Amino acid sequence: MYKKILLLFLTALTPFISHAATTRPIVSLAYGVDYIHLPSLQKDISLEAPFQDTYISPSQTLHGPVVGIFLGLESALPWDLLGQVGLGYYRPQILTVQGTILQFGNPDYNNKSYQENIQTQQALIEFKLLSTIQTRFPLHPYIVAGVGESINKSYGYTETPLAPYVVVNTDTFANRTLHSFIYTVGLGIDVDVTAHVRLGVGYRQIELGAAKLGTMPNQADTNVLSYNTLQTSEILFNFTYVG
Amino acid sequence: MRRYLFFIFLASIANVVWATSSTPLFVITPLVQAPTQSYQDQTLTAIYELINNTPYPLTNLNIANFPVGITQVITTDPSYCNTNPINLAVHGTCLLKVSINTNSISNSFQWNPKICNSGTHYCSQAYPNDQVSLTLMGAMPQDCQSNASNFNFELNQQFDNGSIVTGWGISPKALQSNLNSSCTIGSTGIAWQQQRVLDAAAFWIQQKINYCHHYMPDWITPVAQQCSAYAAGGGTGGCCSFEPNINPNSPLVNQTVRWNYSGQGSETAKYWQTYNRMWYGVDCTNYTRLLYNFAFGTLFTGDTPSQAGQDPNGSQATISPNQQTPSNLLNYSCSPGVFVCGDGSMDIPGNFCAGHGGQFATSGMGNYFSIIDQSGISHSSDPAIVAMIRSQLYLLQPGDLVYIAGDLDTGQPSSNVTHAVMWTGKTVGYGSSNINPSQVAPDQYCTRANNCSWQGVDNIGGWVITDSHYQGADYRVFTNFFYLQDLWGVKRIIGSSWTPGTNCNPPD
Repeated sequence: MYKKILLLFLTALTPFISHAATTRPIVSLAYGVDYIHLPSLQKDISLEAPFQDTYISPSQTLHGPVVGIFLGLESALPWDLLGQVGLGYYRPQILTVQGTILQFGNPDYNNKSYQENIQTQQALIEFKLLSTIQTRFPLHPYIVAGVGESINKSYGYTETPLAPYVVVNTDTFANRTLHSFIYTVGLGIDVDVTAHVRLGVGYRQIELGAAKLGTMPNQADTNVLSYNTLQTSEILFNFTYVG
Repeated sequence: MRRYLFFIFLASIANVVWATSSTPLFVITPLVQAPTQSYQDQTLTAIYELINNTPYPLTNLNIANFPVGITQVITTDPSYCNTNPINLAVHGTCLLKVSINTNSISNSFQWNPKICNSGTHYCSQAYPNDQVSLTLMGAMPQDCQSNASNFNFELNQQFDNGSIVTGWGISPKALQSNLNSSCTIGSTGIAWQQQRVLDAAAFWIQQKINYCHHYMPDWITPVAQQCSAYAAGGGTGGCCSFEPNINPNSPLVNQTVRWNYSGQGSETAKYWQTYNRMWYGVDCTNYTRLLYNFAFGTLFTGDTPSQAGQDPNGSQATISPNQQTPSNLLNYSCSPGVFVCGDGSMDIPGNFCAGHGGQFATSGMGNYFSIIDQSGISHSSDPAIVAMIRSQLYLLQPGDLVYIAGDLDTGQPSSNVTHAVMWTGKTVGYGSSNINPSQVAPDQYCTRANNCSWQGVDNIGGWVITDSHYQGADYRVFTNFFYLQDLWGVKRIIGSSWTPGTNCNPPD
């Protein structure tokens, strides 16, 4: 898969290299807000018979800051279009996911809550196609697409007692990092502030893939707390320098 | 954005759907709490009830978290957790008794008992207010006064002799006593002994045990035998006080939780009713017996008429102190002490309080401290006699056992001895020598409807007794209703020459 992505990237670079006279390096810094949606979770996990815990977390959407950087090349294309290709790296907020633990799966034994952290990072090959609307400050509406990899780290599992008589489990689920193929699409608009500086705002969606914790010592089964699909929507404000 | 609003809506719904409640896997409740202050060279005791509150029978449960200085006490009493690990059936219980060596712990010490499944992944502990929280204050003072309330030696012993009577439960044994004999000598010794038995009462009152038809407070009524001690007929062995006040005129009607529960931690209706707390307790004469056993290692009968002195065969069931004759003495050998005469002195066997009738004799009642005269007639409805007796109550001594022949429902006299209380010699008030009104327990049927009030604030200056009925061992006001109007007789142990009879082996 990654070989194909690399091949695609190199293929995309070809016209930029062949049009070296009009190709300019660019660097873009992004800051914005992301909305990451986690589906609901309900998972039974057994440590020792007859004990079995049901972990429940409702579907939820968490939002927070995201930062990123894009390094690439820009070249003029036919029909007054501009094309950009490059590598982007984005790091959204650390997600703190909370849920409840029903011992024996029985709502009467709602004795503990749990918390885990999910840190996602995205490395993307991005393709951006910009048009130009000539005004006092030229506008560049654009569409963007990208493929790459997300690195989703689930870690920091902790339990909190919900009553003074509850003693939390001292064992914890192991940290785990998953790598997933991801893709993104988005749109936005940049504006030329100077000949070399653009400001912009854009929106994009990404399927971040799965996030899973590891197992717990002495666990009787192999079930884990997992989210098979994290979806994020991001609104990014860009500061772009065009060389 | 609409999509996310929808997600947020779903999340809200999910939170509502999963509205749940907390339930302990294992319930840990103190039956006997460790003191909060103590001294070096002491072995303290705490007793906790452990309950398997899961839907599964569990084996190899670990009683965990024993630090240096705390050890599990193993007994032969089947009520106790005598192994570690333990097995508990669904809702099964056992009592965890621990000893705390104050020489092995820090001066500011805290410990919370914990019970876990075999893998120690599923554990419960006691509420913070129920954990051992102890401050040590150096060496133990050796003066008598400081040691009157020291029951560490008694508490560290096994309380029970192992034999179980269906319903009434496990039987007590005479505790060993290591009292400093110099504290018990002379008139100061009398006062010290009185203080000690009052301190024994204070100790057990503090444990907030219920009224149960049990011999001992560390016995739990088995589920199959659980019943109301206030059912018609008084309930059988094992019955305890719940829904104790069925009198609709009472402000306490349908009050099912112990009156002085805080409503916090384990002092809630849930713990009282569902988690067994109400099924531990003693009845009136087993309470008075318990106090003297803890104070002095003196074991007498816990059967009510017999403790008053009547023959256990029932032949003296309607005989009161003033009705005794040389051939019909109330002198059961397992009954404690001697009768108190009308002038407050102690009877000399065979003398029938001759010359010591005091105001009782002057009133034509007889020589004994009783509202029942020589003909067996109760003068409970005679205001002059009632007033006379009230005026003579100052003659009673702390530790005196006062026996009642009355109907708790109506307050009217009955032909049989029905109740026993211990005289404290204290009155309701706010001074250091008083019993504070906030410590005075409600009295089941003593209501304003009966021209009577159980509330301490309504009885400032009133005499205080300690007894076990209604919701258990407590201080109560010696009201006319039920108590004074049904005063059958008084027995005094402290200062008497009484010792348990050689053939006295009561489990009852």
